[in-house]
Amino acid sequence: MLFNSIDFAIFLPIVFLLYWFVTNKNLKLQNAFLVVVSYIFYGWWDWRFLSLIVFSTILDYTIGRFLAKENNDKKRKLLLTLSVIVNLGFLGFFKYYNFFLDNFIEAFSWFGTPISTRTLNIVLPVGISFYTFQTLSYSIDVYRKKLEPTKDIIAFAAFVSFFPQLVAGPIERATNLLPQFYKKRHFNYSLAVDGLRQILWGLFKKVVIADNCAAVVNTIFDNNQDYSGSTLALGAVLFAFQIYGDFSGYSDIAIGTSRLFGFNLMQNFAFPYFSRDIAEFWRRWHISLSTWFRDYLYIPLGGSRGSMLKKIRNTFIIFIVSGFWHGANWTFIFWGALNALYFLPLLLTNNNRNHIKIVALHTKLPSLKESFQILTTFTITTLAWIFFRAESLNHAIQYIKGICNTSLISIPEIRPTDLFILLIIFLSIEWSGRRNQYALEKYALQWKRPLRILFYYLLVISIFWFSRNDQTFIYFQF
Amino acid sequence: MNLFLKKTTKFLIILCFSAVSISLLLNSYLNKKSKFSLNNNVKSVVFGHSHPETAFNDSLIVDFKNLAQSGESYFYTYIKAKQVFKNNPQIENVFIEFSNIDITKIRDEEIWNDKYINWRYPTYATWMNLQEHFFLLLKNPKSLIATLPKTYKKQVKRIKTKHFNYTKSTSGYLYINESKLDSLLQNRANTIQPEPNFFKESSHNLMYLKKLVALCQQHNKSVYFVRSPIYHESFYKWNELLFKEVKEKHFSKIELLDYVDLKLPINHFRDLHHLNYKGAKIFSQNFNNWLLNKKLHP
Repeated sequence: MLFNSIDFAIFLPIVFLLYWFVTNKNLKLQNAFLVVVSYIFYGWWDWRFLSLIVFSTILDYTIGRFLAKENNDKKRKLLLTLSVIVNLGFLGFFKYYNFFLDNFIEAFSWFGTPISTRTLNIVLPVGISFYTFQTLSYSIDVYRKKLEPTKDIIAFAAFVSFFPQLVAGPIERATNLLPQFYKKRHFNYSLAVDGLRQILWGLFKKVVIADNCAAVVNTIFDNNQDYSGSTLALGAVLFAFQIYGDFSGYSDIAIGTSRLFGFNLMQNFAFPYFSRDIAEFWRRWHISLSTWFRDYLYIPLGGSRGSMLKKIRNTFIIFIVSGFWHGANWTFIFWGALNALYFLPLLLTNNNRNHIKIVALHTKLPSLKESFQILTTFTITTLAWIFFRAESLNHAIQYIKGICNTSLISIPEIRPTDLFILLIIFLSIEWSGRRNQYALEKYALQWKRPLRILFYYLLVISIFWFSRNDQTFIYFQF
Repeated sequence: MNLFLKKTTKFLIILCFSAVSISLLLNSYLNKKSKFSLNNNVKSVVFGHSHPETAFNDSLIVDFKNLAQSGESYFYTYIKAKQVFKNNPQIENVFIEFSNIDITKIRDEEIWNDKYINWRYPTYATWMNLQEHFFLLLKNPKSLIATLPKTYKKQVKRIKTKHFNYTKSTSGYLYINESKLDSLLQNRANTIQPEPNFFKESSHNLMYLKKLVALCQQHNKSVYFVRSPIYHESFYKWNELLFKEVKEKHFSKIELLDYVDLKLPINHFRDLHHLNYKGAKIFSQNFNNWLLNKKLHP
């Protein structure tokens, strides 16, 4: 079920009312209800893949129980390995089987040994990368004794399948989300209103910004050989806004929806395009995934400690794995590697934590230096996004070649004026709300009520007006 | 909680009320302004879908206008016909495409399935009455609601550009240059098994055909059914028995001009069911002769 669909617009109020009026007396019933509606939400797409979630839930719950009882380190390690292998095994099979097979065949043919085998027609279960990482975090945290293993299988099932963040995150840690299922939730008016506001902003980002950028981006990327350098550059910039609007929009809707049910999810995007260097960008982009990799891969590998070679190795590993997580294609791996290259100079010169707080925290506008830094970071990020969006490495290289010629200094063939105006409005609101969890959190709150309501109506109308049929979320494919 | 529900409901009610009001305003304004004006000499018209759209080259037929459009089911034709008759009292004869596909449940689906609502509703909503809006809303609420933004945008654009004449955007002869039939036959496209609904009688589409016939009669138009030529090996003929049964059961008094078996060479067809310009030329001349012989155009 898509957040920007009529199905969800019907589903959400029904679930909300039943949750607060019918199942609110009993915590277990409320959790069980959440499991059922989450399964319905997921099964709406394809009920057959529910079995994967159920299996994953039972497996990690059971492993958690055994880990609680077991004191023998070897056996504990064995249990954790089992969880990792099974979870990553599913992910590997559904997401990467054909990729590895194709590359295996190609590698052999390079050595003059052609082998013939068949790829499988595998459907990638929606959200598998997200819930796999979520359940893995539980097993690892229990193994590390950071978290008490749960005895409550219903709460655990609700944690794994919680519908707002099931298919595209944020990837919640068990340490944050699971305890929220143990406590009775009480309806909180301001939390719910805040949730609605965040949903509204998320929808605006997705429907108005991302989907309308997508229409132009698809035209340019699909016919890149026909366009001038300036148009291709515009296509890349618009893709940067498309992916941000799409994914952060989804996260906002997910977080907002959770708030309606009394849950607090972690912030997933913190205005990444206002970053002054790439290290700051990665602290602000897809935070739940970046911190997941940091805690469960980077730090166990040694992190930024040790020799320079080790630092370089670890940086490349984390970025390449992160790229590969996004999809089974060399373009994502290259995208990851390119980001590692951006990041390395900062790490090696100990400049990777220069910008912790948001830009222009106490001023209205950034300084000239900050503006330049923001622009530079945005430019190199956008360059990397070309690999992310391209169908193949060759496509990306052709695209970049197309940008790097004299036609870059020309008027683009495509000039979506409406979209430019929307982007300016969007960026202005994002800028003014950059100190908050999401741009609209405190925006317009100090206005007079009628004006504020009118502003919300304008947002709803623009969502309605600029909507395009059947635009799915990019991150569903990951 | 009560306060939250109260405020949210109020917000949504105002939103829905405004949306409905804007919609009504736009519709009524466009309804007043919209035109479907044809030349004064046009005495006969044909309604229907892509078969007549590609078959009737109205430049070759005297005092005739092709008002067919691809994929148009009788529901939409009925709505369009109301406008056509209102604006063109000079029309005397109405030809309605009545073919094997039109009597089937497939055509029912084509009134309200996602693709057709998205295609038709933004244009036809202007002329629909409440009952017709509700009919679509009941049949496919999701799609209808999803199409509303497109509808509004299209309507506002018409008002902005003062484009009130709907004739070109909803009808006209479609000139087709190509012929794919040869390769289709090589790929045995003529042996494709139609879906089960092809053998089931339509309910809604035929109901609107009855309404369309009644509307013509109410406006004193002579009504004829016409079956445009299709390739003789087409699977569309597989429900011929049902076709005859429906014709006999519901429309026995209406004359059917049956050109389905008109012999034409393969390169006169675009595909199994559509004529290209060559086929359209021969067929249109043929039809023109019939009109002249019948002395329908004095």
